[in-house]
Amino acid sequence: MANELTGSCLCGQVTFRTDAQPITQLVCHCSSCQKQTGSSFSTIMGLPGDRLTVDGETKSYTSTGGSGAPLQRHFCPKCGSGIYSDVGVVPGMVMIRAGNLDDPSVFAPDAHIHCGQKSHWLDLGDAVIFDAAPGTASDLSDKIAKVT
Amino acid sequence: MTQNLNGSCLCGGITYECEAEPVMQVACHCTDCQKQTGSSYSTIIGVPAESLTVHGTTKIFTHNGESGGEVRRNFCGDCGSPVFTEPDQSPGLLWIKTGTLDNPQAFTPQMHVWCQSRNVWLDLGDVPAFATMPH
Repeated sequence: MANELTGSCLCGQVTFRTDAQPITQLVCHCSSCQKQTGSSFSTIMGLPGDRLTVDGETKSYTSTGGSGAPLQRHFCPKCGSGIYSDVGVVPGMVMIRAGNLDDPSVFAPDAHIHCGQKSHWLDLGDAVIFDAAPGTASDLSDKIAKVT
Repeated sequence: MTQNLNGSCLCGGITYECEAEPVMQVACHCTDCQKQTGSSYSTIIGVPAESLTVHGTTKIFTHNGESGGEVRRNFCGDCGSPVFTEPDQSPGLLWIKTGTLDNPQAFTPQMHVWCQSRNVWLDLGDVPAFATMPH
């Protein structure tokens, strides 16, 4: 993967970059991600939050994630593109939205989560799938602690 | 067959009601849809404009689509959810973003478009797939 990941929203008002390698790459099929994407799922990469630089104005909406912890979703107020989320269940981690990457082809999912709500027509083939979220929050917290 | 296609954004500030026979059901993999969803594609159902009643005020981002002509993307200004799109290319039709449906399982794609920019890890199965937009 490139040394730096860069991206922007649809209108270009918000840009972001990170020099960190993602510690996880997920496809989330939960109903909240379906609502906010307007699509079937979100494609997300977990990074240490202090290694993500965001330029431009963002707005946020906070809801309760499947874990019960707060999930703060940051989006562009001009075009609506979802940019990243603060994931309360893994302090210090942010999830960037892969569709906004300048090169979205670098996204390669490790697993699909919340597949209990998956769109019926999607065939995930041999992918690693979980009905809900795997119990990896503590694993991810450990990984974040190692790189921050 | 007429279907109930009611829905709402993530925060509930925008709701909509629709009873319509879908004109077309499409997954669009263009880079603009990837940007607005932050995901791999948009899933959209085309309905006659007069069949959609929206409650709440959407914000609108207008730009030129890959097919030419303006696209007006209506989203919730409070939570960012894309709700529906009005492209000049399909006058009289509005395109509901199906992830916001009360029953998103009502959507079954008839075709995938703009697959020249699709994510390679996606298996599109036997559904017809077009590199750009079929004419």
